[in-house]
Amino acid sequence: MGATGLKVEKGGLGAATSAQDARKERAKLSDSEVVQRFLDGDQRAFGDLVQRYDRRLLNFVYRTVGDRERAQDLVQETFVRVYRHLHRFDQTKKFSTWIYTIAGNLAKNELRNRSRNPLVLFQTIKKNWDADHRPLEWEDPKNKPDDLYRKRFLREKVEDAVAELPEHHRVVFVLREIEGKTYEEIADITGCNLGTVKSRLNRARNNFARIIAPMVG
Amino acid sequence: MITCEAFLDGFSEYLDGELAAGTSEQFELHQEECEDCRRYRDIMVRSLSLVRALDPPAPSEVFRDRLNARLYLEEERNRAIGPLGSGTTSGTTFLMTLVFAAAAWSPTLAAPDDAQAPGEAATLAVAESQPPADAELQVATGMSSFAAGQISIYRAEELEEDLWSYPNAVFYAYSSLSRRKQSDPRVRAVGVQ
Repeated sequence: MGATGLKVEKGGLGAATSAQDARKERAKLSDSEVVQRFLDGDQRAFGDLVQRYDRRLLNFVYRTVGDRERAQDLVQETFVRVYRHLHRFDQTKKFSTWIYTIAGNLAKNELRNRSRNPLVLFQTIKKNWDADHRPLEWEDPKNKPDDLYRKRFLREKVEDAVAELPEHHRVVFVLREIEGKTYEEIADITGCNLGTVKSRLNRARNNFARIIAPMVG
Repeated sequence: MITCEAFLDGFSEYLDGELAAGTSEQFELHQEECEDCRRYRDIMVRSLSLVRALDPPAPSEVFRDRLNARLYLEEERNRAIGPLGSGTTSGTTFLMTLVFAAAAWSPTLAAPDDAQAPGEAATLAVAESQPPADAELQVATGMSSFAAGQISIYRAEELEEDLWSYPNAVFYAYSSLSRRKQSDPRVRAVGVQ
């Protein structure tokens, strides 16, 4: 089986298949069912929660704080806090709102601390400088360099435009545009009322479009 | 018919389908008649599509390993704390602290006057005048002299005087807590200069 690259779990193909079946079965469960399983003592259930949320949280936190390494640390911290306090989670509430609230608060604290610490700011600038001066890599040989350059340029401009938004606008903007959260969920996560969410989102979209307009107009 | 200002103010909600049906129709009518607002809509839609197309960053290869290590430590911490760990509310912990503090300062637990100073451990002096009756002695020598470093073995009753009367020997015996006390209950003397 090694030649085909199929990794077989210890115990033979049958065991691997049953493990896959079990995984598929668990994937059908709702978040609250997975949470309940974990609280009932099934440790694998926590792995399922990590599997469900690691990329989404990383995307959210990265877009909010603008530093990939730090975003990973903060997402890890989010999971550790969830692990520590899951037994206190009010299961009448939505789990995703809760975990996003924790991640959002950590991201907010990070930005607050960063504004007080010039060294961190310098490190961020240096990291961005490194990224800007990295040699260009051609992901797909079929693509023309001009297209790739344009795509990369545009992607960087879009990321910069998101990063330029004021913090409280950016969080709402990312939750809506990237994470696809509803207004009500955003209000729960940020602790703002619905009117504030609508107003911040409208302003954030206008600011973002104003920056990007010269490139898409 | 809504104004351009109202269109711009409510466009975000219109885009998300958050407006009532009647209001939403007014927004559509306004776009048909106003070229500026139509252009605004196009730019906004295209700009936002770029954000939605951004690739999400992938976690690094060590992300899961590091997380697992942190969760393992967390689990160890919970085990070390035991049932009073994270499941205990801070109020309960505070109350328990008060109870322990009260108990520690309670007069009923106060040490008697002759108690040793803190940091000292009391040891019991065990004096046994007789070895166990059933023990069989194999060696017995006279008490006349003790050469330096030489070990002599006696039954306790063979000592002619008390232990402190032999200035050139140190006597010792196995403690009653020692197993050898049961099998070898003799008194030993080591000669000193």
